[in-house]
Amino acid sequence: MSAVATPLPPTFNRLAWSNLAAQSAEQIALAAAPIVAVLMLGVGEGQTGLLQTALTLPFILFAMSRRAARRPYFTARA
Amino acid sequence: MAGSEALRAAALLGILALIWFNLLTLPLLALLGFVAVCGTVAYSVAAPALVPPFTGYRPAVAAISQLRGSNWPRTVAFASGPALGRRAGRMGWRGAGVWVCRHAFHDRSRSAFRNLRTRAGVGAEAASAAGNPRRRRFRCFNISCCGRYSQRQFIFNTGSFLVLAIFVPYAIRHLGLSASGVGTVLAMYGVGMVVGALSADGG
Repeated sequence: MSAVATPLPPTFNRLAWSNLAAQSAEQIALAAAPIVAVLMLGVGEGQTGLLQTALTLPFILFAMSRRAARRPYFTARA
Repeated sequence: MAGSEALRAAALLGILALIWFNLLTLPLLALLGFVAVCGTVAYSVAAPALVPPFTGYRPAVAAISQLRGSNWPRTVAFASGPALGRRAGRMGWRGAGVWVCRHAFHDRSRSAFRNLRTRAGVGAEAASAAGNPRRRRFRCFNISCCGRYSQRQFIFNTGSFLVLAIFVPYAIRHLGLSASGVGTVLAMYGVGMVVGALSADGG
């Protein structure tokens, strides 16, 4: 693996820092959800699983939509 | 990206408002969490797309790999999330502190899969070897190898998801952990993720 030869521009560094902030905020928010559900709403294991499923669903849906958008490209190449 | 972040902020503020007015229910929490994660996914997709205009085409590949491939920012985020949640729990914030594990698991597996693809040459080499029967067989071998690897990762991630789905209620109800205790356990998990990322980057 070769290292990056040219330094990246400041705009990219700002993007990387914003990415770090956004990912941190995402994880803090997602971490609080099941604890709030258990401590405040008194939900059980099954309902916590359902909550996690709801919070994971966008990743699956977006991945499926990206695959669907990519399919004609691969069909054309095959 | 600003719109997706605004969407997520609005959803999280909605959750806080529902907690404040004591109107929060599980369906509402799931719905607002779903909306917030939609914003997150949109941001995650849009961020790498901004790299080529910033860096030009050739450095863009290295820059995107730095943004996403090394996973350093994300791993630090995974590790600091439960630690901050634990701190928030101590401040009487009703906690914060979990989830990190599942996403960390996903990202470690994606990173490992990407490393395997790089070593096996599935990306650049296989793409340039189209048309050569021997190299095509090699590419098929690599793809099947990666397919088996991804199957194992699927089983592994499913198992970790099932464990983590019941971790919080089990830890609170049966082990008697508080929100800060759960955050501490997951902070230790995040430290393991950072160590793993460091050793993977060093190797």
